[in-house]
Amino acid sequence: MTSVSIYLILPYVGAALAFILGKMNQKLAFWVAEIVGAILFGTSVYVFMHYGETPIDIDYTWIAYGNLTLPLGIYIDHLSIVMLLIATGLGFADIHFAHDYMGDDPDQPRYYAKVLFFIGGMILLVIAKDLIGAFAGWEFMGLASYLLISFWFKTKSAADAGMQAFLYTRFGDIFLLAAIGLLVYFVGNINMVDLDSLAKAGEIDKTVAFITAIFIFLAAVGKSGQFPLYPWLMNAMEGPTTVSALIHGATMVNSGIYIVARLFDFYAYTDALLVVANVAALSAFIGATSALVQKEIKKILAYSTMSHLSIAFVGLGVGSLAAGMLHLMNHAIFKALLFLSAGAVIYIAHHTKDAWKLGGLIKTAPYVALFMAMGSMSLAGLPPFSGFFSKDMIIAEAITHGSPFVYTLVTIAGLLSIAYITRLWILIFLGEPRNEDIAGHVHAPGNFFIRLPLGILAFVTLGIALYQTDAVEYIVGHEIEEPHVKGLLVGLLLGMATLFAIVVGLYVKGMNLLEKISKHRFMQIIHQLLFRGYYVEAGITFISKNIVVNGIARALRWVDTYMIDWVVNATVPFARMIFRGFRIGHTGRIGDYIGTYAIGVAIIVVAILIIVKGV
Amino acid sequence: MSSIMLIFGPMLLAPFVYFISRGAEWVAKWAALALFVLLLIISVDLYHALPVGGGFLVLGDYLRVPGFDYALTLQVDALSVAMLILTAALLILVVFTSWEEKMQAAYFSLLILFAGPIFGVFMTTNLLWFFIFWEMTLVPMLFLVGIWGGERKVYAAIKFFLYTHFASMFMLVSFFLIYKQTGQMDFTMIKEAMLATPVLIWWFMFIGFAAKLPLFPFHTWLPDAHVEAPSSISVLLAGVLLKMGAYGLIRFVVEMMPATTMQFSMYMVVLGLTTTLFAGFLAIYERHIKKMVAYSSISHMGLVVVAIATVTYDGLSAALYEMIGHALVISPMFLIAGWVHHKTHTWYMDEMGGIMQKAPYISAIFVLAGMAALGLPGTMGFVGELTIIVSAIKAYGWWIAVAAIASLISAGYVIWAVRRAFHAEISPIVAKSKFDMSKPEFLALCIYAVLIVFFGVYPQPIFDIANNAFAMFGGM
Amino acid sequence: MNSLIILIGAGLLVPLFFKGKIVIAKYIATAAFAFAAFNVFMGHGISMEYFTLTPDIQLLEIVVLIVLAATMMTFSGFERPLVSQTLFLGAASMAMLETNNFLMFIVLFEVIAIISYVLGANIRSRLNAEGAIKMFVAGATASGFILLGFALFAMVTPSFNYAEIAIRGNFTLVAVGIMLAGIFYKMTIVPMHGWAGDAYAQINHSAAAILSSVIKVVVVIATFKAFYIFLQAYLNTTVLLFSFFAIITMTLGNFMALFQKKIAKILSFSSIAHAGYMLIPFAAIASGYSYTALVYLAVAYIFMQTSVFLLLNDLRREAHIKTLDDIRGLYQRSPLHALFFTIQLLSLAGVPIMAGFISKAVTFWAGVDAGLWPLVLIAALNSALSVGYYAWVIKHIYFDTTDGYNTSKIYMTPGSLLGQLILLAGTIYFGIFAAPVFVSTGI
Repeated sequence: MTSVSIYLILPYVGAALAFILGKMNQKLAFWVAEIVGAILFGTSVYVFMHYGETPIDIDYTWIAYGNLTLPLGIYIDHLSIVMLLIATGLGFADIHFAHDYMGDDPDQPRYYAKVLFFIGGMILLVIAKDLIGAFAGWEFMGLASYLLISFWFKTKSAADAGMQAFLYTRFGDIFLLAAIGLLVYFVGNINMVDLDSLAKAGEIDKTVAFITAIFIFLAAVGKSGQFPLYPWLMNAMEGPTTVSALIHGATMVNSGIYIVARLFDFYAYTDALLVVANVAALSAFIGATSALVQKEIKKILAYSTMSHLSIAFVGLGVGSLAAGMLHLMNHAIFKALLFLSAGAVIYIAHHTKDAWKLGGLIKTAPYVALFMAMGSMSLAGLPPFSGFFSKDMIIAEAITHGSPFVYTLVTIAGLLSIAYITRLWILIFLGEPRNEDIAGHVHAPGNFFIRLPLGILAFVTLGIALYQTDAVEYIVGHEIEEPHVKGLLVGLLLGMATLFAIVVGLYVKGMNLLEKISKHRFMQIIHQLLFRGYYVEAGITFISKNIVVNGIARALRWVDTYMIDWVVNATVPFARMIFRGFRIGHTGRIGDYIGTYAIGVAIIVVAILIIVKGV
Repeated sequence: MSSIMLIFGPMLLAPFVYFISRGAEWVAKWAALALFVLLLIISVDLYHALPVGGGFLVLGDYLRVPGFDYALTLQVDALSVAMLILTAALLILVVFTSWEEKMQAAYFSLLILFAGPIFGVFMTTNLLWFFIFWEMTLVPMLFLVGIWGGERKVYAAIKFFLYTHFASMFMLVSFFLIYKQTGQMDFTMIKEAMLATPVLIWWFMFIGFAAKLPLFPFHTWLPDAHVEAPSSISVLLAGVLLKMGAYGLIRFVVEMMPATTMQFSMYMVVLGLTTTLFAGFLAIYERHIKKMVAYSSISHMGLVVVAIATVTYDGLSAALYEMIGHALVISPMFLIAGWVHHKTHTWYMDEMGGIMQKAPYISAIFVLAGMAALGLPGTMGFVGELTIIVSAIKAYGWWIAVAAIASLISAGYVIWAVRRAFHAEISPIVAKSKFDMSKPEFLALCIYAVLIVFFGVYPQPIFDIANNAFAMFGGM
Repeated sequence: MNSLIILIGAGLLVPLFFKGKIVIAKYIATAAFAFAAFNVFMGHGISMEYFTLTPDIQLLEIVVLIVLAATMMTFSGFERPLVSQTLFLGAASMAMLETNNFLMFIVLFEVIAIISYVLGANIRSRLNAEGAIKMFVAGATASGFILLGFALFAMVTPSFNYAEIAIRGNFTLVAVGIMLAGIFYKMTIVPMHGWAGDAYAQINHSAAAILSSVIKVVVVIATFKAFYIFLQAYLNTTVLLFSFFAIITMTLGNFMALFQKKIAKILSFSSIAHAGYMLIPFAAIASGYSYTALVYLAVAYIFMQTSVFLLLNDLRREAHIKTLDDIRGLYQRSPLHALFFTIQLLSLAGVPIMAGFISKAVTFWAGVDAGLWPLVLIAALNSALSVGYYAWVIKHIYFDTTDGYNTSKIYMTPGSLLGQLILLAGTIYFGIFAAPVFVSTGI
């Protein structure tokens, strides 16, 4: 119980404290955040250690109105604990890392307050029992993400990126809201645990279950950057890198996967998982291919995030909760490591984000290079790093249970990760600096606030590989037999080796060849297509800008101004017209007045005559 | 203390305050503040005096006329008291936000004059007196908009006055038809079965209330009136005057004639949804910051109508919550929009930009209120939207889920407004403006912010009132 | 009897003081009105044959006398010829209201007509003269009709007492129709209103105040009493004819007032529109509330209309205010005039809580009670339309500033202030307390 109250109150109190104390003294903001982060992580570890046989389960009626009640319960089971450990642990590491990275920023109190608020939202999502609580956490994160992406709102691009992120995710979220309403009506229950068991028992109407599952998945699509709502994730890189690491790499983007995992039985009940698998496979492919050609470090990582989230989704989609969750966990850790390493690179290179302008940094920052290489290998799925186990498992599951479309795309996406991450690493660390400005000015990163968190994460990403089967058992509750696919491992390793060789060859030795290839027209078209993320952003922008705003909204505005309000305003000229008509009779000459008088008398006389005749 | 003085006290006080404070303007301000605080205390007191389990608390019966049911019958139930508390609270905050208004003697006297009839509207159960107070509220508003308003104040004030007055006339005729057919003027005595022409009466009343709410297509007076009114008066217009329409809809349309309402509820829902979406789209397209807020206000009132149209216990409770939520959420947005204009002398958001850099706290309150407007959990907007969607789906079926689109549209205009006006680089106009705010105004904004969050996290007190108010629908 | 003698006696006496200070004449006249009002209040009417004092008439008489007294207080030297005529009018009004004899009604009708011509003849300019002539010519025509109708009627009825009037077939119907044609002239019913729109605006405003309010009201009430039996007898005709005239009268009156530039014109057409509302109780004769409604309309209207014309008289006399442009920013020049004017205009517009609203409401109720809700709806919308021009005047008073116009202050004389306060008190008292009217008319 204590831990629950800590989870529900501390992040927000901490955020307020960080802001208020930070306004008194910049330094205090960091330390408040650091302490709060540590307590939260400590609490998670405590909950993990002292977890009893049964989940922590608290029911609470939030609103009782009319004949309805809206609950807001708390439910902490193994799944939640895994997510809690990820959220608070990475959050803590991220706050710690930010000490140097955000050290020069005058707005630190605001930064730490927002980060703590974000962690609060993530915690709320994963400990909520009901969809309302989940939605609350979901939206808190959305707000925090918006605020943090546009943290440097002074620049137009950051403000735009924040707006885009909010609106894209909001588009998904309204489906979650609608799903809540539909579930209250059709099922009478929005308790996620009950929904699972009801679905298992087959007590929910299939159509309802399918539609609400799809609605919830649409929200997940928005939040986890799946096709077609992913462009915001790339632009979200306008925010501070620490934010990208925490929110857009490791935690918030996982929430879509989490909610599908939480409702796994509900999804499995209908064909909704098929939709999940297919959308995710497509997204994985898009992400992986687009990551190949990006220039900015963070965009490469963002596309890789998208791709890997999709891979985890595919795991869920082909029916393996264990594989999906395992990949989520592994990915969160190594992606945090990669993002923070990228942050360290950007920090030491004075906020240069373009990978093509860097190079040769291995001399200045060998440890960062090492840690990043470890993260990269995990991402690429090389044994014995953690990424290998989960990715391998998902591909095996996909081949066993998925359609050809799904497993082909996900295999390609899985293989391509080695290509883009190697390319990134080479561009950053090898060769000579490709930009005069940076060349001499790179400074070495500090130990305690930069290298330590990176080192710990690198260690964890390696170490956790030893506990993969335990983790699976912990999440799912029983041991999972990985489907055996003949030759898969060999095939994958061979494919990876080939791709690795090509990339190394091109980027280390064959720069000239690369240039020649890229000059080719066909290649340029492909390059543009990939670089622009398959023009999905352009398409959505076109729809929202030209069709919604300048089309529908403008037309309605026209209707409002020139039809509805016109009628209202036209009453004045209309009345004036009547006035003019009436005025004709008012000449001011007494003779005319006697004339109208006669008309009046005539009316009376005629009326009476008619009545007399009629009587 | 006689309850009739709650209504006529302020009205009698207003001229005295005016003449006393013509020499010393601060008197009017403090007199208004003291009076409104007193009204708030009495309203809260009334709430505790309400009978347990719903029903009316009889306060008195005045000015009875032989042969004609024209008696000022004062009775309150939980719904009226909720509105009274809201009104008194908003009036107090309005005093704070008009702290530096010009011509204070006249301004605050008019505010005091406004307090009387608005209390009367919510306290009387006599149809004719209800109409009297309903119309009386227009007069102080006419002057407050017409004298203290912006550039097109005359157009706005007269349009507002004429438009709502015209619509009210239908209501008056319907009240007389009710009296003719039932022989009763006190709506607690009137049963629907007693009416001979319920359909005619229903539509006449509906027109009156729809124009006040306002519902599409009777909404065009609102953007003009709200934009031209000084911000504090916009708060009163949105927070109290529109609520009169919703209150009337609940009282006379739903509670008095539920069966006819059920018959036409589909029209109400469709009109409500149309209003919500239509106004939402207009808000998206709007460059004018205060007009954007005004359309947002219309959009939310559309949702209130959807909730009212359910004619169920929970739908009406949700409507009451959203009414209060709308008042508290839209008010700071109006205030800040007006304040921004006051400082930059431009209305257009694309000419602003970067205000957050110069006035971070006030901008943050705008963002918070905007988040509430778009229905972010933890704020009043979310609870209102969620409860309305849930109860409307329960009443009408799955298709009402399209109401969720409203929260996407509202996200669109709020975020787009924040992006244009508050974020990004400082524009030349903003650069040369000085962004300061008097302490009472800022205090009022903070109170709004606290209330939005408090009742967003802990909404049950308001729903307790609502459950008390609509208990008679429990069995339906 | 006492009141009648006092009023007429005072009327004959006051001209002696016209040369000297008008104040003495005003005091005498006011005292006479006060005495008469007190007398009526104590229940002493004319108490002669053909005259009866019922509670409703008692109330109306008190109101008329008080309003005339208030009018008297606002008079200045300009209006000295009106003083004695006002006193005579008071006496004639009492008689007209109390009479229960048709012959008396016709005679008094002519008496009041003559008084009104004399009131209008306070000529100080060409415009005054034009208005007076219009009124006189149109009035003479109407008188002819009334006498013709009366002659026809007299042929068939055995008695002129209201209680004993006999209806003899179509002869009576035709006679009543022709008489109505004449009476409608005095009531300014469209299309017999032509003279009024000009005359009220052109003659002296203080005379117009009396003409458009007291005289109109007295005529309407007396007509209702006199014609009640006919209206009841030809119920269908009544409903049709009066509904028709009510609608065209108020519609035309309101539309004609909408875009006028002269304030007096606005007020005179508003007076015509009010005549339209006054026809609703006639149309709703089937309802038991019709008489109450008419009395209420009369009481409320008399206070409001007198007040606005007297205020305009003040303004014209002190500051030559004639058009809407002239009263721009009046609240800066004279807050008191502005306030009184605004409240009375809002009352005329039918905005609660003033008498204008509740009197209209009772009228509408009578109409609905008689089953005429479409007529009532039209009337209600007309009343809403009328807000258009009343609010337009208020707009000029309060929302505009005096920039570029005359900014000199205007002072209100104590007499005027007192008179206006009395009228305002009446407007507000009858707006809140409806009981006196309902009790006196015996509903």
